Amino acid sequence: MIFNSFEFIFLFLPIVLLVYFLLNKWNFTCAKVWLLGGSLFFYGWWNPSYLPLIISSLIVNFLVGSSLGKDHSPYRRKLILTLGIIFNVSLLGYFKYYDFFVENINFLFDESIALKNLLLPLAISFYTFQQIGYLVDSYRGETKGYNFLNYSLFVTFFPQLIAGPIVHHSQVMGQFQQKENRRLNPQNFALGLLIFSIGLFKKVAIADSFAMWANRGYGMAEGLTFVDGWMTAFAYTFQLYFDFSGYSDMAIGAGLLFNIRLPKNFLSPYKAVNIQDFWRRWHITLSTFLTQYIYIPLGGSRKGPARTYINILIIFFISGFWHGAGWTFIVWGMMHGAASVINRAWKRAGRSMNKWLAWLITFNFVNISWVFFRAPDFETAMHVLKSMAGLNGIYLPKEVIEALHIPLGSPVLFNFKLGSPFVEVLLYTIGGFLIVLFAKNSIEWRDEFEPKKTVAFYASVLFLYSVMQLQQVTEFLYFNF
Amino acid sequence: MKQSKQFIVIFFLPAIFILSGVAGFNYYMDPYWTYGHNHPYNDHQISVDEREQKTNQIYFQFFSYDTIILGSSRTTYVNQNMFKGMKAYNYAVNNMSIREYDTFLQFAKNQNEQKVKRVIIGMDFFKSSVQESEQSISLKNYEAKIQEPFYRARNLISIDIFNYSLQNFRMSKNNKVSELRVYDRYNVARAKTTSASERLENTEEKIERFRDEFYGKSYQYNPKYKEYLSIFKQRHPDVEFIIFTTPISAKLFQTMIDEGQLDDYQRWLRDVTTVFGGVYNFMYPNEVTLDINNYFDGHHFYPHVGDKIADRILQGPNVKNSSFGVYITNENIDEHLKEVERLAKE
Repeated sequence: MIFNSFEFIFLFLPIVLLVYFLLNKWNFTCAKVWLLGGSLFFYGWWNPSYLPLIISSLIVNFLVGSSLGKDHSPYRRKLILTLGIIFNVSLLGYFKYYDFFVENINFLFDESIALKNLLLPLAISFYTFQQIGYLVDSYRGETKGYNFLNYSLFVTFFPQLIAGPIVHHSQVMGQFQQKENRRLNPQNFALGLLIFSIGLFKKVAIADSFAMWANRGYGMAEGLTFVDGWMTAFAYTFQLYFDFSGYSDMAIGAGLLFNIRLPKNFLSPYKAVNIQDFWRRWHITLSTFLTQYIYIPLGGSRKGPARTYINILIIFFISGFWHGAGWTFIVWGMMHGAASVINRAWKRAGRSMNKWLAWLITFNFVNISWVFFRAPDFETAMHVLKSMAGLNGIYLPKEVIEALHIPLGSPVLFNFKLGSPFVEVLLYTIGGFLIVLFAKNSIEWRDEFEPKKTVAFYASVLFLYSVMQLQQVTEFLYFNF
Repeated sequence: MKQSKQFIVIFFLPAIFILSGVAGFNYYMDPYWTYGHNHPYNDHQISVDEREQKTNQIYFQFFSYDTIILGSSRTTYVNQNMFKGMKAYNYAVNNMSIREYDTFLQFAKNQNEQKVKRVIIGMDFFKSSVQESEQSISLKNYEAKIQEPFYRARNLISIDIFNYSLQNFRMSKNNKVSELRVYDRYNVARAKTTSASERLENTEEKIERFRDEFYGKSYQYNPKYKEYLSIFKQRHPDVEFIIFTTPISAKLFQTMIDEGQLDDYQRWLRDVTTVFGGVYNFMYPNEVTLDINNYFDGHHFYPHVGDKIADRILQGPNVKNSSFGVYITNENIDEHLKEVERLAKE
């Protein structure tokens, strides 16, 4: 099921919420079973054939985690942990990366091994990481006392199941146990409504508008010139942010309705003034996971600059590959890795930079790197980048020509074809910049929340506008990862 | 605590109030034809997306017809009720490609309470180019869309649909057709009346557009055109086919010839005739096409011309010296094409 759908907003969410709090008055375990059942229903709504996989994964990981909690010898515990991690990575490797590896083997060795064209099980990238974290912490003895119901709920709690935030067990397990969370809390409920509405609006009203232009632009990458090339790149940059952060807001908002506080995932990332800063603001829970479970165990920054740089590159390689089984994603990841290394070296050298220039460089780097993230192949990415560099010519749309009083027969005139008038795309792009740079983000709204009437009205307007657009349901971008 | 409760009430009250109002009004006006009720305030319906509207009508309402009319926007102006002796449903939609015929007819057959005996198709010359007929398109996406869970409920709270409802309400209340294609609740299309100067301007614009987009260098006769029609015909061996060509204005016809498409036009007519055995040809200089007042843009005729088309088809193939519409077969096609050439030169 998708958050921005009629069935979720008007049926699933109210029913699950109402029954959950009613059951809580009677029996807490039943309420949690209901919530777990609801979460699995939410997951299976699209394609029930995904369910056996996630349930098997839950069972195996819980058993491995429980086994790690027992007093085995250190060697045996290490072996169990290794097997557990191999199980998770193999699952992800098989469903997500099988075809990628086969394609590369076929290319390198001139083979013709058949592709499987497997359908990527929904959310597998997210729940695999979440469960690997759980296994590692079980090995460290940090998960004792968990039962299967609570564990299953931690992994499958529907607000965060499909596309995060990637929740650490310590962040929610306690909350599922707390007595005071079993009753509807008007403060949390009001806050949940506000954050959910902001997220819904970001997705439906903003991201989906940019999506139209980004899709059109990338679909005709060969024909892009300077102006529409930049417009296309900006469109995707804003689409991705409003789509993914909108989803995270809806997840956080829905969680709050159940009195569960999910971790923040975005913090105005396009305000970042260097690439490290960007990754402290973008997909925060992924960065936290990679830092906690890979970067630090590799030695982090404790083993000298050279090893630190290598560790950074490894992390970004994994991050790129996690996002998608393709070389464009790996290039995107390595670009960020290289930028992070340069940023570290710059700081080590004690250099500084004007804040606005730093922002300009960071934003443009992020914007350009998204081209590799979005493009289906390198050829398309190069077309877009060439157009942005002016190599496909610099032409002006009719509106600009008229504004500059250039005759319409001028050879610099071109037909703007992103699907909407140039002025509309331009205004949205300017609006996008103003929002990402100056508007209060949803986490600030959350942290400074006061249930004022004006805020309630504001949330209601966002909600109303968004639900009246639900006849055009579009998927979230991160469902593909 | 009290403030939070107040917040929740303020959040939900306008939402419930406004959504109920929007849903109620959208239901009352029914601009997507998903419910089918009629009243004086919804008897003018703008054409939003005919594929979706007509497919909704077929799927959600009682559907029992022995004749299906297919074709593009010109054919939408043919009144289905003018085919006396038949129970016809006009399933023509804007820009219909020949590649869509099959799934449209199949859907109409599947939803029908009675057997489809015949299909009447209005064919357009400009749809025979590679550009207009090569892309494989079908009704499948629409079929899937209207069968999605909560499709109708979702539409009820749509702001876009609310805007269409408002437009329909205004037109129905004033009882005035103010758009180029407006349907009544019985699937009959009407067009707003345009002034002579508007018609002239529209026609000039249309001719320019055809020169740029459809004729001349853009036009290349699709060598698979005949094959696509044959496949379509073979898939429906149980129905009788009545084919007609849509009458464009003589001015636009002349543009087509000026742009060098006379040979393609002849090839097109020969192919259609060969596949279906015969075709009612209205697309040539004749008493209707020579009078620009029969068109609002030189390409789309007014509904009264649609009535004449129905009338001519009902007269059958054997009408001598018809001033509008000639039934052509392999026997008389050469003679007819010579006559068309002569008329064009005049």
